[in-house]
Amino acid sequence: MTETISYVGLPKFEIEVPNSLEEALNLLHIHQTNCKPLAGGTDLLVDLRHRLIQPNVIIDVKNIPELKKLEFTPNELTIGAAVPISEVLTLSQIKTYYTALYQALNDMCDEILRNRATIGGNIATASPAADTAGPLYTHQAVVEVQSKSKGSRLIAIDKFFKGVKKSDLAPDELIVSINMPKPTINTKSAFMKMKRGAEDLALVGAAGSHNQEHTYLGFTAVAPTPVFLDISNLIIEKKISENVFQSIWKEIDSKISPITDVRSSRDYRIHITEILTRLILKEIIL
Amino acid sequence: MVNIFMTNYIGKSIPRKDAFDKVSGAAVYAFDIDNIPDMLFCKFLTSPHAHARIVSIDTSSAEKIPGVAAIATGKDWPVKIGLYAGDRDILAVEKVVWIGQPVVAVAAQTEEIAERALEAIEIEYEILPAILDPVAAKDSNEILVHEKMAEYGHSSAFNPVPGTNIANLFKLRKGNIKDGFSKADLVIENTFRMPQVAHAYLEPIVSIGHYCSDGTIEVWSSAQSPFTVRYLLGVTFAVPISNITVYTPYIGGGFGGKAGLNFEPLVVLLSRKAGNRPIKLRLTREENFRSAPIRVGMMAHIKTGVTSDGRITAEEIEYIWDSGAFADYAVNVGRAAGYVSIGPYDIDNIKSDSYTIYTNKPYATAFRGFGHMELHWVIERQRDFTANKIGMDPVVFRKSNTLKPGKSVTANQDRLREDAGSIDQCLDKVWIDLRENLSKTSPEKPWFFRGIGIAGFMKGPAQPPNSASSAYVKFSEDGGILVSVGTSEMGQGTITSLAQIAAEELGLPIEKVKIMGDRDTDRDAYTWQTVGSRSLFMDGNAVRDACKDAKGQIFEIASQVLRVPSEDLILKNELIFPKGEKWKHLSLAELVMGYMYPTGESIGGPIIGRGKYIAKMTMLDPETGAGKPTIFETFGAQGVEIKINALTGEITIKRLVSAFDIGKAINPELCKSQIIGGGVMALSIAMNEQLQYNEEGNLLNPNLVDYVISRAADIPEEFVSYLIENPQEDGPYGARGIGELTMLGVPAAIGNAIFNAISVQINDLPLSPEKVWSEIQQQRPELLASLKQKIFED
Ligand SMILES: Cc1cc2nc3c(=O)[nH]c(=O)nc-3n(C[C@H](O)[C@H](O)[C@H](O)COP(=O)(O)OP(=O)(O)OC[C@H]3O[C@@H](n4cnc5c(N)ncnc54)[C@H](O)[C@@H]3O)c2cc1C
Repeated sequence: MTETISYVGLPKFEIEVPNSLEEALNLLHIHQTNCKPLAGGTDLLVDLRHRLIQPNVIIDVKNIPELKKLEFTPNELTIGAAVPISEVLTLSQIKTYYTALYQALNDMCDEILRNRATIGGNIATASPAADTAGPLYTHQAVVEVQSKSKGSRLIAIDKFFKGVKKSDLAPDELIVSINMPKPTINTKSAFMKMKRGAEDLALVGAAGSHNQEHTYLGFTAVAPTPVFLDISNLIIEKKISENVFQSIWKEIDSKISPITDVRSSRDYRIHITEILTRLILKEIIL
Repeated sequence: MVNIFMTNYIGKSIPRKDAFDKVSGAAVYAFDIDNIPDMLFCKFLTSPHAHARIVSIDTSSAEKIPGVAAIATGKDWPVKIGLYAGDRDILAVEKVVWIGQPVVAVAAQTEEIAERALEAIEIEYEILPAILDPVAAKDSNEILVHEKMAEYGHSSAFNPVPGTNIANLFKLRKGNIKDGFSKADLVIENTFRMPQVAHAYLEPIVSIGHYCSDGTIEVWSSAQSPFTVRYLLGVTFAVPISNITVYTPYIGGGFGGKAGLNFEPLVVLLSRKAGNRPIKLRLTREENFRSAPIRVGMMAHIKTGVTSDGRITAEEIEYIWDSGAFADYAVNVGRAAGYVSIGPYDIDNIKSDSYTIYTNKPYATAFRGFGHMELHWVIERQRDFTANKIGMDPVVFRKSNTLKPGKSVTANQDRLREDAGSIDQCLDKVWIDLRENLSKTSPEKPWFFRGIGIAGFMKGPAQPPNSASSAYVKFSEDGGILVSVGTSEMGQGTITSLAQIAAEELGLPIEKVKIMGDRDTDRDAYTWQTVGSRSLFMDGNAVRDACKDAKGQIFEIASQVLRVPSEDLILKNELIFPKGEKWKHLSLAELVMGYMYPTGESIGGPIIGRGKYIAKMTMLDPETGAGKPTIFETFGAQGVEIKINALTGEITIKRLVSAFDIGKAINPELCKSQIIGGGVMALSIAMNEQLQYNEEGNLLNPNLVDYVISRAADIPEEFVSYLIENPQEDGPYGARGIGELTMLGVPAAIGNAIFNAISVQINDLPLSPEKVWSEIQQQRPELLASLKQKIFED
């Protein structure tokens, strides 16, 4: 009968606040599935209150230096997994070089939640509607994860999501950072999100990027996992026409399988996917 | 006519009395009350079925959990409760009637212990077929939400139909409907709908109940209408009403959702079971969505006969109000919307049936506008529809049919007063403004379209004919006063306006007028309820009356001291003096506690002024609805300029223009803040809000992530407000109510603007992007197809 109870507070758990990556990985190693990392808590606390998860130990990762790193070098951008979105947005290069990500972050959750919510938490939750997923793909992000058992490994973002709320992360693995190569000059990218009001989870999210060599598209909330497409071979002569669009749409249409839920019907999601794709292609290519 | 004279406070935008407390966080709400000795906490277990018989409830293991003080089930106090219709259980007794209905309640040392106890309770149900659709429910006599309706008590103003799901049928009849349609050149029929919505007030419901060992009852609650809570608790527990005290601290928004009686009987019942210990219940947001009352849904079928020159000859309407599992309060929503049925118009032949229907969904109560936003969605969309069909300007068409002084208010044979205010002036103000300020530049993309739309409306307070208000003013030694009223402060700002009235009447600086933001039924003057935009008018008149009473007492003493007849005395700037002879003054401070002559002999004594006001209305004829249903009507009009993205269906509100004939704006800034607040709330409801259920009747969006309400960034760029002041002679300084009016025209104005922009008619709310898109898709598929192509061309 528990589904008829609306809990006031959180279930009981121990809280650990490690100050080093090593300490954190040790804790994860000991507690495995009985623990959960805590970044901003904007997903975790909701799940805890509704008893969707009941870990014995919560590991606050906000004091780990590696996870707090925010750095733009001539080659790449590194965003520590626990850097709050509002802080990421202070880095001016985000807007210049990673427009799609900037547009997603600048509109994510709401102004207050952005002071807490992190990109690490967003992808670790692996929601089909994770706003950062599309832009991270179009910027060819690589996720650095670490664990005591397997050490450090890099996961390309298009290998990260495995199902609804399922990712490639092992229970003892921690996301350390998200890394994106510096784009070549003339790369253009964009993100668009359809929602029911000024602040809402996505009905559909769409991101795209384009340069001389590559054109990438990423979609959220249209399938159990974010949908990523490399359409570089379909973009001929750097132009977009109705014919070219139709061939792109055929690919997209075969990969998406939206559902009907409280936010939207399946049909509307398909329609919006098409419209956002058109608008984004126009923005990044024409 | 109301005298025009120089005033100190009337018409001035005095800062809100409650602003500092609220902004600084000092304001106390029921949630904050934690210091009652021995207090326990309550949690309840709710029904997982929309309709089921309770076979058994086993609480034995829950009772053994340490810290559990009492467990109550419906059988502990199986009386039916309610304001207008006694159809509600405190806890489900024989059967459950919606998913979310409280079935078992636990009082424990902490909420966590109570939750553990809930987990240990076993309930066995026998599932019954449920009925969720109000149209099906209206005609069903197989699935009945209340088989025992015939046994329920109800106010004589209502007509329930036992053996059906009809909780109330209100009929309005005027002229001869057949003749009316035979005179028409054109008959237009439409069906309109509005879903159930949530009040979504900021503060979830909190109630604390204490059944004291001496038999008295104390309640602290986030309730809008403490005196109604007191009265209904008296009835529920058969306790003398004067033995009950209801305290209501500041309320974090109510919008009707906290009117009437809600969880107070539950906590009082538990308190009695738990050895007279006080019990606190604070709902989570999810519980508030599932178990607390919501707003009715509506379906209406309307048929209008019109001549080709724009005169409406007949109108026939059927309103179906989806009240959910209880109709305790919603029967009056159906009744109030029933007697207004056709909006602010004068039509000779009317037939309207307004049905309040039971379904197995959360139950409905009052909601800001009380059925009028819903009915004006029907009427004002239909007016534009009709104007368009006969090729007339929508405002010219409306004005050839609007209600004028001397004409009967809807069908009620109650004639509109000469001083009632003017719907035509409201329509003109808004329409001229919209057209003059229409965006001149063309939209930035080919798939953006602009449109304007307008809606007129009216509303008066829906209350029983004997609804009354009172007030008292009590002086302190320095001549300052405490004003006591019964109306609650839940954000409207009424207490500030009432303080202004008292300051004006008694010639006091506003700083010397104290008016409390909390209510205490033992301390405060009585008022029936804080609902229906009635408070400024009714409690305002009572405050004025109390001040006049005090002034009379003051003059009586001053007349003896100054040896001047009291008619010749003036009270101004805290001084009492004979007309024209200011130098012969006495000060208020010298008089209000009794006057002492230089010799020490004293006369008079502490002054308390007492005032009252009672509604002037009648019962309505059950067959025709004839009678006097309201004390006044406020007229208004609202219009919008919108921009539609026809590719996605998204609507942006560029401007919201409102005009209200409010008689007198006692505090213009407060009026404007009501207009903005109500406007945004109505936009939110018009464009996004709806309670969504699955086939089993389970609410799918019981939280503020899934149930979308407007956020700061949704607020339109521009609000324009016109306050028209044709004074109402019996209103305080000519004033009428405005609180609810600020919402009434918004949905229909947007619907009309959509048609104006893209020639697509939408009859169902909300006007969400998806709804707008799907209607464009159905009505103008060629438009969508061509716009898609334009993306690459543009
Ligand atoms: C009101 C509201 C609005 C929202 N709006 C949006 C929106 O518009 N778009 C959107 O995409 N999301 C939205 N969300 C969801 C949420 O805010 C985001 O997903 C956010 O990015 C989560 O980040 P966080 O730091 O708060 O994660 P947390 O809640 O701290 O963690 C989320 C999950 O990730 C795990 N985790 C956290 N850090 C790590 C790490 N370093 N390594 C491994 N696992 C880790 C946690 O254990 C947990 O399972 C909203 C949530 C709310 C409550």
